[in-house]
Amino acid sequence: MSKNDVKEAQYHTAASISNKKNLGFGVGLRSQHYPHLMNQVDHTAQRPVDWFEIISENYIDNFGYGRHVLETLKAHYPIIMHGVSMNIGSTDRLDYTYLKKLKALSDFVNPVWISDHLCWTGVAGVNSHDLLPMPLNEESLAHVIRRVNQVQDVLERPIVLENPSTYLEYCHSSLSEPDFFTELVSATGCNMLLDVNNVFVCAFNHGFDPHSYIKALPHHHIVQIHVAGPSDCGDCLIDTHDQPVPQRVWELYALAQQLTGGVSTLLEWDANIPPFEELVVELNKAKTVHNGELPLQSVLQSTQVQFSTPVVQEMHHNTDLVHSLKPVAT
Amino acid sequence: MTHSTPELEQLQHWLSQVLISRGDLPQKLANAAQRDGLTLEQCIKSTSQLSAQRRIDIYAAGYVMRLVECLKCEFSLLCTFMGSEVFEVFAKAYIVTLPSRSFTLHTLGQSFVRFLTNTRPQGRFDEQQTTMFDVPLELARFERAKAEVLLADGLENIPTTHTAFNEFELLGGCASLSLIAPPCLRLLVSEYDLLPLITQLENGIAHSLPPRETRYIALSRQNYRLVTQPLTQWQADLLVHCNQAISFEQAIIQSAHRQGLDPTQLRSQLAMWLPAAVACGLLVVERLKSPALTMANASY
Repeated sequence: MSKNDVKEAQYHTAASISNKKNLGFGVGLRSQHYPHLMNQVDHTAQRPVDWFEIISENYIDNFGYGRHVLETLKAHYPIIMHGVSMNIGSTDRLDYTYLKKLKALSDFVNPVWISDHLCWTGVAGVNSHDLLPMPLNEESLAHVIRRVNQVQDVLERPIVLENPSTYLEYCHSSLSEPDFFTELVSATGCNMLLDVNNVFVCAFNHGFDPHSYIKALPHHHIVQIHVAGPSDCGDCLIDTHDQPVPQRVWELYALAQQLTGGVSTLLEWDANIPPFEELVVELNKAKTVHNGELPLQSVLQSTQVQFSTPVVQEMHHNTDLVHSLKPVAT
Repeated sequence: MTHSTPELEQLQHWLSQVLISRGDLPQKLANAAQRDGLTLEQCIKSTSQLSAQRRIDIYAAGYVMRLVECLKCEFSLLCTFMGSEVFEVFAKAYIVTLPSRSFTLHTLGQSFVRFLTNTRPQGRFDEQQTTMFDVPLELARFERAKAEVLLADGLENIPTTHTAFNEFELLGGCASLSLIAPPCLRLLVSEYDLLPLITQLENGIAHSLPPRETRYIALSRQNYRLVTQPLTQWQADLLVHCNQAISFEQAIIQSAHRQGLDPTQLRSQLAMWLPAAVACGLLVVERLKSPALTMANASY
């Protein structure tokens, strides 16, 4: 068997696993919940969630408590690695230092899959730490196809790419985002993470029908759905991940689950993060949607200037860990 | 008006320039137009709901605000000391002056101390003014060290060596031990009595300016918890020189030489301090496999 054959076999195996595997209902692992989770992990017979998604960059080059929590949880839960710095759409050369570290983390975590975003985060070596939109045209499609193939070679598995929230469209975009994704997954074998909140945000900001968008996606390649709550800033919606999921997003979630045949669900909540128990209550609303009930929730209006929170910083919220002047045995 | 389609590379350089360059949005757009030859109208669609200017401003403002919030988390004591408004001025200037070039936010604040140092007012100031300009630098240095300690390789996964070093061995001049500083150790020299101020800031109580006194501080990690330990000068000197493994005897001889201390006196002080230093993660002690280096054959 040639090297290429082996790689192809790996891709197909991983792809088929990804496509069939519905992990159930998960949440993002955030440092605010470390103390709660570490207290519960050995004592709770019933798991509060089915799986966790980590922000990959928070655990690369992190050998502190976060890594310890991750090591503990991965023995009990499936883990997905979700990145924000792959910079897949950038015209900079791929950052192989980053990719090697991502691969090393993947070897440590053994995630079910590795995802990032259809976007670029910087050029000329600068990282904006934001998910900047791609122009959607033939040039950028060819560029992203080339880069996805290169990344998949390094990671030795198909990657999963998410549709981002966007606030601008380029004059010279000529493809719809569903068409772009359809071409991309077909050419590379990568899969898609459908963020229905991002669809809701983009549909409002750009004036398209979110239902038509979801219906036009390559459903067989969707392996995961994100839900979250955006902020209503009057003239636009901002993807803040700081509030309950609105009913309109749950409607899109129901449609996506119907079209995909049922895939893994993840609740994102990255600012004003509630206690873990409240997060689970919000996540469990997804189960009621599966039973045909739509939670009644409007988009909360924001009185403050908002910015999206695609980038989540690992912070040490356990005050026991960070207060500097703990008494020391001498 | 129609425009030719810019290439992907040109478009990305243009948008990046809009985000990271100085000034208000019109200035940013002018900078980007001059540099990359593209205008807002050429690149970004406008709608009746959202103008192109408003659309790009969401990204330009969000870029700075998001990273300012990250810096506030890493330098929370400094932010409390300076006040949020003043801190934001420095944080925004830092982000614009030194845009992040890393894939991780762990390194976002690594040049902040250098930036604050370079922007410190120069001139002749009275004692209180000098303290007001110096203490923010000291706090920033402390908080950056804290961030690094919390992420570094610690001692948690290293099996306890049970290196039983008894006082007779340490005092008798035949200890076959090596000393090495762990990767999670950071040492600071402060020209101010910083730790009481840090306690005040952490506890949210009224703080006062610290007196000017040289202080040596070690930060390390013990069972994933941050440890902060005031040090004497000889302890700080010894730890600085343990960044590579050194035998116990050599450490005494060399440190005593550097400090101008009597080696016998330093030996007894180190013998007393070593168990506590090891217990709080400042040092790792291993038993040497080769014969003990004694005072007789130790070198400077």
